[in-house]
Amino acid sequence: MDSAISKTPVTVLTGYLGAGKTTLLNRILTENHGKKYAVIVNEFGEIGIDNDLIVDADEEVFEMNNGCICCTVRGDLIRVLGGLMKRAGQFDGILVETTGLADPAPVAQTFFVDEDIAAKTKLDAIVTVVDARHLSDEIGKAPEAEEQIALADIIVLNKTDLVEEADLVAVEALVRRINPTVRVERAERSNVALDKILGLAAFDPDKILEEAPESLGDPVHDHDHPDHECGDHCDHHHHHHDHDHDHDHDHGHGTHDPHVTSFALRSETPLNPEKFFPWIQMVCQEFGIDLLRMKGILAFPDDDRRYVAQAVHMMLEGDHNRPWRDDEARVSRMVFIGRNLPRDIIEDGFEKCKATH
Amino acid sequence: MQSDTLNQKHLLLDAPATGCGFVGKHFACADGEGFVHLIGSDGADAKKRLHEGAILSFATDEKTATAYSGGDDGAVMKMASGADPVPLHKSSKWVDIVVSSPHGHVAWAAGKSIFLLKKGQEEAAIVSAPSSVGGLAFSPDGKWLGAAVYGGALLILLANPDKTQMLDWQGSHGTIGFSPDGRFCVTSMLENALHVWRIDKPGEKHGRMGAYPAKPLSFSWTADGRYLATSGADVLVLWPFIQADGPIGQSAGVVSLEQQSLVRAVACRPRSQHVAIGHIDGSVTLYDRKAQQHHVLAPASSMGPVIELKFSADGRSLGFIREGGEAGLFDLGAP
Repeated sequence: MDSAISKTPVTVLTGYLGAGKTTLLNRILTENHGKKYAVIVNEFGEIGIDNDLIVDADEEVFEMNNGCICCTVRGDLIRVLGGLMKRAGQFDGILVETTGLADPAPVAQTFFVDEDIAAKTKLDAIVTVVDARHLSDEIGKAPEAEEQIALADIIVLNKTDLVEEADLVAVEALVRRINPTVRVERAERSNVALDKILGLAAFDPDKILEEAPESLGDPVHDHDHPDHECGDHCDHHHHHHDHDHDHDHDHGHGTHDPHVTSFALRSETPLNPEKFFPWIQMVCQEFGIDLLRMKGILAFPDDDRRYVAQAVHMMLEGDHNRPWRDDEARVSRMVFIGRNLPRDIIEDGFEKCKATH
Repeated sequence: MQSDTLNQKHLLLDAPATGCGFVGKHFACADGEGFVHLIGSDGADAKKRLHEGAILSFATDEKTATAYSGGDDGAVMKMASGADPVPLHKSSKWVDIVVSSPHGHVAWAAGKSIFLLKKGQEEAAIVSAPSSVGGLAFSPDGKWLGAAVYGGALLILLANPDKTQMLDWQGSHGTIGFSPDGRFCVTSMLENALHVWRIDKPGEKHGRMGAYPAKPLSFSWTADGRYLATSGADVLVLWPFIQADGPIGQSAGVVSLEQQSLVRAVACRPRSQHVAIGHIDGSVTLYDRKAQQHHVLAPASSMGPVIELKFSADGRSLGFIREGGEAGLFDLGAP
């Protein structure tokens, strides 16, 4: 793992308009943490601290030449990260600030696609700043806000001083309904402790599932019911920006159900790798447009090491990591986050991957 | 050719190496802390700091002993032998690419703008690109400045920079080059492939040159112009440019290499059948197409991949840089 240690960690800061993203960035840059960061910003604001390197870049989303509309990367990131690596050793980490309406998927996918980038940098975490007051209004209306939560590894639930505790609990529940494994850090005026968001390797699905509740994916204790109330009439399972169907739903006033939901799968029976790999590839191909994020830790028969897999849309990667510990159950766990994913079909396919079949 | 008889020079830089080329009788290389280093054939070296940050792009004109550098300080500098460095450009955007032509022109790219400073002119013409620019190259026939952009290659007519032609192909294009006869334009792509267009019929005569395990960022036409040697595989890939449509509809020849390591950089030796090959393990080999023999010039190194190789115009000298911050120079004798 020596090579992983020397890779420069990249933290992506997202957040819907007005959530407090720039305030957080300013805090990171001004706080006396002894670290030096290169910061990639999309618009030159008031930030700019002597010790740090600020790079002004325009967000450029590039489609790959493979006919897949969800296989997109951030061209500006490839260019700027490549350039920053020419100053090797001059900073401890890289921060990427995205615009309020940005879809973080192309950012994450850049680290999957570009081998030169992947060889030298490592996506440490996608940190999404959420305005506790406005989230429930944005959900169901702003697809970008849901994407930013779905892709997040850490949520900074901001402006908690402006919201009652009961509402905070409701907002947290809403966040977890979209992304059950995300870590939520409450903050006022973006005052989250920086060691809770930086340098944690939180993008690593291993880390995320490690921290997730034990009950995750256990069908008996399933944490909430997925959005089946959407029903068959709801055919909005394509195209991110096609969100003009809100009026089709009659969910009452004040609360909106997220279009992005999640479910977890779990198996105490080891999975047959010869069935699992073709299946998960099929799932990513078939449902990739709707699949925002997948994370999994998998146990294979006669394999003493854990297999960790993750996907963003159709981009799938996986590898063995550490051996299973003696004191841990060899349980396979997967989390799927997406728009109207056919849970029954995916669950059925997962069942058929069990090594007993 | 035995490597122990080779006259070779090495120079360790204190920062990552970012570009190289010949400047008169010197081999010049740029680094990530803004320095340009000069290595003489006698082994003497000198350095000068031209930029406050990293030099991102570097080009040389051997004949006029001039070097051009672009930095993340937003500057373009011109350094002519014996003269003080002259700034050509300054802005808030990084200068990602700078190229020079044997005809004395120079061009650079910053953000989505391409700047063309023709020989003898005081002010650069500015051309807007549809995206940020992956690469620039002058065509050897002196007709075009080509820019690799998102969606293809943008050709800018040197005689009238307001006139441009787009060679379309969806995707993100990185490096760019022209065949020695000026008939073909080639770009490298994000998808581990090259794309080629016949410039007179780009809509119908174009094609993908794929199946690479890594990005074929570096490519070079053989001295006779009949083949394009490329990086991006653990073999030497040679695309034929012999037929009227070049490699379109043809398959590539591959030469197995003794080095079991991806090819990261290639350069074809002038006036010879030799191809210099730089590997990601840091080794440098010379392949003789005529004798079909390999010569190891430099072994693998802990200083990282060989990212660029350059021959002097007379083919006597071969310079290379390793990404981690090392430059090397060989005197190979007359080709």
